[in-house]
Amino acid sequence: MVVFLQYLINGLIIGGAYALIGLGLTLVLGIMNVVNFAHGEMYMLGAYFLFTFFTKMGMNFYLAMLLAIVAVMLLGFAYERSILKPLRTRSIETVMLSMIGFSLLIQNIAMLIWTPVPEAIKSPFPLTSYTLAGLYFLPQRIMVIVVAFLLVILTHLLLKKTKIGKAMRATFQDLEAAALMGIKIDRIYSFTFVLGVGLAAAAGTLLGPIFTVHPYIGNLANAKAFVIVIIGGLGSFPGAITAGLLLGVFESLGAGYISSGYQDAIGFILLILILIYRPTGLYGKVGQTR
Amino acid sequence: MKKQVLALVVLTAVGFWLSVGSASAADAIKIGVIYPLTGPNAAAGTYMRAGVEMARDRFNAEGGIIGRQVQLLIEDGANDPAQSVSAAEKLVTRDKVDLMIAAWGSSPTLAVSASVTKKYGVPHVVDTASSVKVTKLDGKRPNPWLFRTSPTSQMEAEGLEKQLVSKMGFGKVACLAVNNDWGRGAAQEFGTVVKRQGGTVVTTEIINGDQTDFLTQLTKIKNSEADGIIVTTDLAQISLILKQYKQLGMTQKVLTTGGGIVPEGLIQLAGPEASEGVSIITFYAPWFPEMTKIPQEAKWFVDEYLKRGLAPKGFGENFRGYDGMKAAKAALEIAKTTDKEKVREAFANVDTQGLSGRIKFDEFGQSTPNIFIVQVKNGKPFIPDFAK
Repeated sequence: MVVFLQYLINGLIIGGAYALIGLGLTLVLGIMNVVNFAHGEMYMLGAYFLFTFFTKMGMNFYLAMLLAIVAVMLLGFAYERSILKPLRTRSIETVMLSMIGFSLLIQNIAMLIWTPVPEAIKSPFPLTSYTLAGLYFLPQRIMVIVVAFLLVILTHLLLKKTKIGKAMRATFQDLEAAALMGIKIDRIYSFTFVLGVGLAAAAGTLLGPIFTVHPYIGNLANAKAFVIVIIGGLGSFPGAITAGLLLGVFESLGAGYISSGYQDAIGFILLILILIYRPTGLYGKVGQTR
Repeated sequence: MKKQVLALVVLTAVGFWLSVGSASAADAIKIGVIYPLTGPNAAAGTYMRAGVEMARDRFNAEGGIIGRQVQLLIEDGANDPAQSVSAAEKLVTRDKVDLMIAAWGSSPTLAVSASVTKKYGVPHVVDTASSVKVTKLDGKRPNPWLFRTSPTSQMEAEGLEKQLVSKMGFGKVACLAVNNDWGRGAAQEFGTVVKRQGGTVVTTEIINGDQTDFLTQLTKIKNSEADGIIVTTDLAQISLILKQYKQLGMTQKVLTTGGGIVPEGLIQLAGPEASEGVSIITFYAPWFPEMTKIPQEAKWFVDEYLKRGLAPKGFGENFRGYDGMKAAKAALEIAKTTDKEKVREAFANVDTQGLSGRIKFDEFGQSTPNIFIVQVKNGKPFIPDFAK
């Protein structure tokens, strides 16, 4: 029973970070109809900026985290304005190709700047863990889950309670009607994209100190993010959170009780089952085109 | 329009200049090298590249091989079989290399061996891959053109046969191995040796190459009766495993295999606390040049490598490229020509000293390098008495 609970806790913590990655992707997809293939690269950049600011330049950890996220958001803003905006009237395939190109470009630039050698962000937390009723709690991971949930709640409040959140939801429901009501679509798009990449960068800064950082960590983050978005339902906010947590827990339990060789396969088995029995995802609506 | 014409003229001129430049170097001995320079294994490939380049510079400064300068043509294989094969095709058919060093991992090496070097008849030095299949397939030698300076996983395990269970205390082991030919092969070979010495394998956990979270596997091992863990994967993953192992408060002994790991790398990536006491299998000990038969050269190698501004964590990889080049040099000097058939015959008579020990090939084209154990003690590399 203790072992089961330990697997469950491990899964939930990783799942929290997965939810954060998935959330950013689903926002951009839902509101802007843009498949952001560079999402994982934003995650990677978040981790690398934290490495530069904290490990290399010796800034305060939390300040470095914040700066790293802001830096990625600025890059996202520049990309949205210079590339995505002119492509807005083009087909979804054109935009997709530009995103794939962008992701390759970022990966290679990261290789030039930081070299392909993996780096470690020295964790400011102690290596030892707390024990409670035979269960282990690692301080670093507790921080991850706390910050991840704070960010999820903040994003939720932003969408539900603020004016810009309302405008975003209106754009999601009906683009033309929203534009006719005086909502500045360009501004909403920029804001959404910046928010989406910011969430990915936040996940990068949270997981960076736990894992190692190299220019290819975005690939895994991307794979997970897409599984989460499809399981949760394209563009669904609660779907991304549920799917993220589910994926984390399933992977952990599957690796613990079946075989660790199948850890990644489990996510995709879950994906196939969802596609067969609920093709629109857990929270997706039938007939939704986005 | 004018601009385009001008651009064309300039391009053509540059093209001519380049082709003239390569014509003057046609005299050089061309060695084709395929390493992973992009992708998740790019770090290892970068260190290996430094190894071959240092060998080239040293040989050329000494007057070249058989009086000819050495030219390296380095391609990126990304540790991917398809990409490595097309790089090898290009090196053989277009660049007409005299010899090949390829292709790092076991899977791309097997692919290059089967579909390029054997097909075209090009001498092929393997300096990293450790799958037994590269030199021995169903008891036969699959490619008469291939010569391997790196040891197989089986040689690593058998090299520790006398120490592993009785002296190092790996009686009940858990294997943690990456999901590819190398990882699965190593888990099997080490398991065989442990069992033959009266120990048991409690569990074998296979992990994915891009996995970053190992808490589940480690929790499982922690709650098992294993007293030692044998880990086979790359530095990035091993450092994560060690960090998480420390966080779970585990006390099992840890042994890493494959030879690509050095204490410096572990300490930098996993931290001194998590690396303390770990045993590492290595084929070359850069900290103790006196342990090789060529101490001066070994000392020079370490100094020169650091002088080039490269990271000390590359010491698990860089020597392989250097030893591959030494094997190539020895064979070319015996053959006294770059005629491929003569070079192939010459490899059988090679007997020289590399950084990882004696380079001499058996009837399968396999050399037998040194196998050491290095431990991390007080944050420094340390060779235990039983391993000397």
